[in-house]
Amino acid sequence: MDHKEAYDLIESYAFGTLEAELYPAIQNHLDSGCDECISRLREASELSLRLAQSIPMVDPPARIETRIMDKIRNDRQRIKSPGPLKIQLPYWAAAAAAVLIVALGSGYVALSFQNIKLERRLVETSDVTALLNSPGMQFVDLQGVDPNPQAFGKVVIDPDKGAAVVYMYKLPQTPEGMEYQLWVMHEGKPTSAGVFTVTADGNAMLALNELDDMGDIGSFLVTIEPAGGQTSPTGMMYLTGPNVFHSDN
Amino acid sequence: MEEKNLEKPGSDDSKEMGVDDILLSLIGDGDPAALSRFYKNKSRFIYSLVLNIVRNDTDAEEITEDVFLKIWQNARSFDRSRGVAMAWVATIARRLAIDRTRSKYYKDRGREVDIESHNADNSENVMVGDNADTTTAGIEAREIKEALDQIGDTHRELIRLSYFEGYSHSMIAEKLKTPLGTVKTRIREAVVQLRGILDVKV
Repeated sequence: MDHKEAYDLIESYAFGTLEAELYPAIQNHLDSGCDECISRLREASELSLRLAQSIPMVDPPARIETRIMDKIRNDRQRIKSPGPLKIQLPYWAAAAAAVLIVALGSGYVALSFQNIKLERRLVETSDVTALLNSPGMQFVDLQGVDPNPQAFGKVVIDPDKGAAVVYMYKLPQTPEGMEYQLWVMHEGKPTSAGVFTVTADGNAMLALNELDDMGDIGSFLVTIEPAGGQTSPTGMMYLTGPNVFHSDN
Repeated sequence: MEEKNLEKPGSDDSKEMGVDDILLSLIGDGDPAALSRFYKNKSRFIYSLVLNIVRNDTDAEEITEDVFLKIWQNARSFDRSRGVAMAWVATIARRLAIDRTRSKYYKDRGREVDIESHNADNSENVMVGDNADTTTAGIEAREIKEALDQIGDTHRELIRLSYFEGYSHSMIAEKLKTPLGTVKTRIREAVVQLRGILDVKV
């Protein structure tokens, strides 16, 4: 299918009304990276979503979830395969236990890091999901800083448990001998929360536990530093999330 | 305070990395708990979307199940550059539901006539609107009705057929006895106009 044919069918694709046999051809064209068609797809699919929100809502029977979960529990093959969120943290080889406790100089915050090595994926994604399922869970955004505005991140936090997961995306690869370093800002003072490198896609994830004094945390920063990290930020800033955990008290 | 609540209805923040994106990453990793959470957040929207198309509880249940299994199998292929997570999920749901209405199984069960009349009712509900309905869906329906009123009869009819009734371009061309190229062009024009009126952000 050539570009013009695909372009003309994007609305049907987004609305789900395309003739079934045409979906693979459109998909292939989109996968080829056609910006014009991808842009048109975004427009049409997000209009489709908006129109769908006018539909009266009906509660589904509870048995549907039971059937779904029963089916995927039997999906052993899939669980064994690696996923797209490829985490590459420097501490994993040393982490015989799931958690590596890092004592911080300030004394009033203790952060621990969990390696997300593929072999430990099930244990750790369960931990993350437990956090996501927390009723008090909140999340905040991290923004990329010029000249890398494409980078972004998300901090998922459970204030009750003092736990957080920091997701970071589209960070540039670090030069040899350099690593990224995550900083937690307390009352304007940075405390290291660890160093990390990113996947080939520029992604990384850090799990933080035992975050004390969360009301005092002002923001997160990510800087680039010599491998092994520094005691305070010295390098260029890549991500920042201002005023993320302000206490109302 | 920049905090955001996890619980949001049908859609997620547009360009921001949202809970939907994170859950899809975890689902792509093969985490059943993430799928369970995603189901809890989105099943009502998906089930309603599907039921609105197939108009049959049994079919809607089966298709909703299929939608979440598709999500489970294909979460890794979700690409944020092509739209928000829920737009991707809604497209999967609509496609499966519309495919069902076109299936031999569906026609053999005598639902072809049902779906024609039902979908006409659906589009009529949205396109007429109900001023007494103060639900979110009711308010959305009125806004969409007002937007449809602004795009002209020809374009409105094409949106009705292509979106609310699930017709393909070629089916519309045949039904309206209009050249296929004209149908495609006019649907595109209608989409652009509606997006502008409804202020749909991409």
